[in-house]
Amino acid sequence: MSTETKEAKKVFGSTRELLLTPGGADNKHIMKSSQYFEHRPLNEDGQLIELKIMKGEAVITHDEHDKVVLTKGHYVKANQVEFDPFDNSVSYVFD
Amino acid sequence: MTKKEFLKQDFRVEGVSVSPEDAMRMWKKIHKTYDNFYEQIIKPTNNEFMNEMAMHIKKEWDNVKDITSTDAFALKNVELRRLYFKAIGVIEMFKEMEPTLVDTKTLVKNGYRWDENNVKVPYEINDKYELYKIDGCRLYPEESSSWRSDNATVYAVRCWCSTTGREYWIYVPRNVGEEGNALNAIAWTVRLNHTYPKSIIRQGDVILYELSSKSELLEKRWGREQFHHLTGKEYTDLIIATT
Repeated sequence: MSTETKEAKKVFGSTRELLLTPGGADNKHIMKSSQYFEHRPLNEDGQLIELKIMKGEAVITHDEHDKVVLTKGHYVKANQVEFDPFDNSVSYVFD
Repeated sequence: MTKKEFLKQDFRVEGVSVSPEDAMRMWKKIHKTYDNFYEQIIKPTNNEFMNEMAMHIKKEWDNVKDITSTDAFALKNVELRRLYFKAIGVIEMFKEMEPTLVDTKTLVKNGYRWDENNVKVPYEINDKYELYKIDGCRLYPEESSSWRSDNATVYAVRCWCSTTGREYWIYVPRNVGEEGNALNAIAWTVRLNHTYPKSIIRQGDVILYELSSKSELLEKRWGREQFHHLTGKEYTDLIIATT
């Protein structure tokens, strides 16, 4: 498995708490674990994040949506997108 | 800067030159409050002149009139009408304009959620999606070319949050809407940067996909990030939880 391009070879950081929507509200899509998990941005705006859970589980909470629990594994966090028919652009959806 | 000087400035929204009144109506429609407008438009410029402009806009803000689709249709300038439609936003556009329902699909499959101890429990995914369109000839009735009119048709998918029941409307590209399949439309809103994902979990607007041993990050092309918008079948096969 390769998750690196020639351009992007960023180093993984390690944490027990991560805001998955940088720039968004602080209380939305927070990932927490009792164990350290690894993370690194895969694009320039930081909305595409590679996540590696080595031990235990990580819980992602949000003030509106039910929680999500991730167990040991290799994941990527992305964002839903929307089209703008008035300028033909594609942008992220933020709820 | 005097008010007279302020009103003589060249106002531009999305690169289009507009009157001060039109600019402020669109900013108010898009940003709702002056504080939001200031944070998103003025503050990032870090520019003294823009701050001076903002002082005048702040004084006028409460008196700026709301924009409705009726206001948009009253505009003879098609470019300005397009900007008004953009400012009005997908929810109001599709609620006010009696769109045509193109397709309804309900995705039903076995998935799961998590209990208070974070243990995975079976949960039936039962998500309804509706695809709507507004014909271009209704948005731009003066357009005589049927090709241009067809190109101006807009499509949106309506969906509901599976936790709160809150309604969402999301515009999708015309070529996706023309497939006439609500599942294809919602699937297009999910795009992945890797090949061969194992599964997908959605928490509102956040998509989490698990990589498999075969997964590869799509190489940039011409310095641009590459991704794959899901098809309806891929979305159906891969989704295992929605919250």
